[in-house]
Amino acid sequence: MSLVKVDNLTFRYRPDEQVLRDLSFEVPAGSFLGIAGPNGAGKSTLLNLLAGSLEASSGTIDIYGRAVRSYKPRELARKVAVVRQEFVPPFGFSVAETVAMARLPYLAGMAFGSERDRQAVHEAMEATDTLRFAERQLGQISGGERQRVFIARALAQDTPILLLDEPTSFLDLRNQVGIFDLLRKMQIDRGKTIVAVTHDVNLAAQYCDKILLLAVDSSSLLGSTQDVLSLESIERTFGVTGFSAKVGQESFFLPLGKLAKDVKVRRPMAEADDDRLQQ
Amino acid sequence: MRELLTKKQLLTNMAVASVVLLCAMLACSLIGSQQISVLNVLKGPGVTAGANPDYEIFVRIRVPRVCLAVIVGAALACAGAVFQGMLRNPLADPYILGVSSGAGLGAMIAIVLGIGAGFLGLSSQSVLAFCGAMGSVWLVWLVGRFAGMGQITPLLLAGVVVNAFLSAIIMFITAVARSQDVLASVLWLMGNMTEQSAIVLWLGATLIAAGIILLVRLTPQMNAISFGEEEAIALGVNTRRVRFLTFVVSAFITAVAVSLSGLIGFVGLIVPHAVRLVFGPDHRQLLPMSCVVGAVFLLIADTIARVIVAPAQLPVGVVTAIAGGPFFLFLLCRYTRKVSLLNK
Amino acid sequence: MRKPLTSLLIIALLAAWGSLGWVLYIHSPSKAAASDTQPQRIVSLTPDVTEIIYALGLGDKVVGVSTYCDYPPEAAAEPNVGTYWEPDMEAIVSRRPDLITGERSSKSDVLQRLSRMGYQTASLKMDSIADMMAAIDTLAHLTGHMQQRAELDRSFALKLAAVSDTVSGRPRPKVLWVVQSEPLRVAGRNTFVNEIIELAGGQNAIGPTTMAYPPLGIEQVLGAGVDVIIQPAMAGAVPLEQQQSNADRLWQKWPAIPAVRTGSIYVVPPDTVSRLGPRLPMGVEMVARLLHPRCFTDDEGSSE
Repeated sequence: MSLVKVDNLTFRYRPDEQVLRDLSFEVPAGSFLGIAGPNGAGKSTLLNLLAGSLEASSGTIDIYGRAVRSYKPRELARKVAVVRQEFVPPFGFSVAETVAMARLPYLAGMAFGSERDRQAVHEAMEATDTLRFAERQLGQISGGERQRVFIARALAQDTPILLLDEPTSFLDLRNQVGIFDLLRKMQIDRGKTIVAVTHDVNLAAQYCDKILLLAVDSSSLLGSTQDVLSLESIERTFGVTGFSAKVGQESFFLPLGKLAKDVKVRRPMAEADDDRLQQ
Repeated sequence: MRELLTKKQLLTNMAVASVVLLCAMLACSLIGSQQISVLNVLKGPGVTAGANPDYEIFVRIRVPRVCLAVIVGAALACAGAVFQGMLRNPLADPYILGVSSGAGLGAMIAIVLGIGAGFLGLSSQSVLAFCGAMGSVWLVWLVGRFAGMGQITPLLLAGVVVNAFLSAIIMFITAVARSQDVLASVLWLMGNMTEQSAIVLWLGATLIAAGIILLVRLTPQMNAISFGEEEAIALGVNTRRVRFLTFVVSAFITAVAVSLSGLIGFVGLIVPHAVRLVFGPDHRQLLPMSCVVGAVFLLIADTIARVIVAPAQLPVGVVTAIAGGPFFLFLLCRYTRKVSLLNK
Repeated sequence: MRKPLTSLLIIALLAAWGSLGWVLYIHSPSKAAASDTQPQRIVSLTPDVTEIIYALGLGDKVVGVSTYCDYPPEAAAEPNVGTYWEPDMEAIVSRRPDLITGERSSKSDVLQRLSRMGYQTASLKMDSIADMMAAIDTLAHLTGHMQQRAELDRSFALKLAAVSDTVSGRPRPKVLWVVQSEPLRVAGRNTFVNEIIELAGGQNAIGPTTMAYPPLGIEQVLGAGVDVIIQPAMAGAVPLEQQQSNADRLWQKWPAIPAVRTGSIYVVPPDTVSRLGPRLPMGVEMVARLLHPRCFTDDEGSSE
């Protein structure tokens, strides 16, 4: 069953400027969807639409069969958790306090929480390996650690759906891989449905079940990494040339800049070169 | 270091703080420019007015002042904490959304037009200051909504604009009014704590307590909103409603405080920071604790103002500024060194 | 879920608080009834009223004065109870006064506050000489010093008559009365200062204005043909001679003004002309001597 169903979605910030056009796709339960594309293609916009913080110009977005905008904020917060880029808020909240805030949709009054809530928080921090700095302030840990804290918060929120907006921007290689490992683990161990916006197509290729490639001209492509991340689609979407390669079942793409050293600029590759690069 | 807040811990802290407050109230009612003896006070009012000066001083002057300081201190500190959290701005104080110039203009109009009549014993300055304060907040809200859909930055800018506009009107009146009226307005604006009647104190306490209770109930949502609008919405908070309620109620209790005692600065700015330093930023504790600490702070400041150069009386705003200024500087150094002030 | 006991407790608390409010409202203190006996312990909060009180012979009944009550010297020696606009209420109350007096002014509500506490207060309008005479009358009635009041009235009238006799028939020079030099503010026609000018044989250089002490532009001064400029000195550290030379220097810029040409710029001690009190005739005489110096060269001063 599809937890998230998007049908003929169109969105405009301004009447003359269309960001998304007639977009339709589904996210089956327990799957991992990556949304990739160049800047300005509307990836974050799409994520905000899925999260219910923006209203579509036309078309429908359904979560669990109901329009996302029809949910009350608390109801929606129990179904969908959103992780955006890490940052440091102006007042010194600690890691534990930050993660504990995730239980807000379940608590009334002064939100003190019961044993069950404390349990959820503890487990979430354990899964994300953030327990060891539970009492430190958010400003005192590194960016990668902070991103894990925000993911821990989304986990503690105990929702079946997780939406992430560029969770690995500004992180180093190790952290990037670490975060995606963590997401994959959540998908496998806890059956979460994950939608992640990323600009790194290769990471998406490694981890996502399906990829949605958005282009600036509002066209889109949805499918497995093989179908989506072909040379033509990348060149058309990103406007960058390069060459694609396969490792196992997955495709990868290496972009080539015009002045990159030791590499000649190529047009769409000759078939001969293409064969040579394949396994 | 700091553990997650539990109900038990909060109640314990508040109980201890309340005891400290009561002791401070008692101590400050026994301090003044005149020496009085408790025994004399207990003898009662005497036959004619003024026959037992110790009683008069204690019951008619000191106790009302102490109660007033507690009420106003709590209101200002609470409103300051709320504005700092909701505007995500460590420099916010209760007057940031136009309350100060609105109140000042109202008071000045009352003084210059010589409006004598008051309400329940409140002077006309107080009544008009309250109207001016609420009026200017409403104006800021209108301008902010018109400019930017109620988001934070347009609201802050609207506050600056309205403040500037109202200050210009104040300057105009200052230029054409009599100098003694100007002097009266200036003194009122510096913080004017006088003995209010019991019914006025009761009314003020009721309104402010109601406001504080409402705000405290919204503190979990305020915690979420400190992380940013979108973050809070994702956690299920109705940010529009919470923002509206917190702004209106905080502005209201500030307006009540200002109408009772003029503009007293630094309480709303410094006390929340001090409390945050010791107890952490969790608003569920920050708000009630700020109320108590604000009450004690203003109580002590008022006592100093009454006594230190007696019979001359310092305006209370001077004492809070002298105490608050250096502390604010210390806070600034500490903050910039320790915590990064990245705002989303 | 809330237990019904907690709800009951909250309702009980609210009911108690509400009844407290009701009780306080009903028992609001009302204004004090005027007492039958004459006041024996007077606190005076403004210097003009203080001078009147001493002039009425009530000096021995004064038990407290404000910081600025400096005349007569006995007044200055009395206990200080703060200023009129920032009074030390405890000090006032501890003097056990049965009458507190002061000028009626919008700038201070201290008299209302004391009245609410049950004290007898006298808030006296002091905007003109007629007001002052009425205030003297009120105080005399309150304290039973009618005879002293009659004497005060008589000596007042005598001294003023002496001055007006000396300057009668003389052309009236135009006087600019400067209360503030930067920005320039002068006394208008509806002030007691104007009355002083007229009694001293002069006339106000400016015409009727809406404001009592209007700010003035220099063009209006130039157009008015000012014969004499009088400026009460400011109390404080700067000595009179220096204030005089400052004023001279300031006005030298405008030699078109007749007063500047003839050197008729006078900085005068303020106590007798800025304060509406029993020393007013002395102030009037001082001003008259400045406006009509030749009338006064023969005798020492006005007759007693």
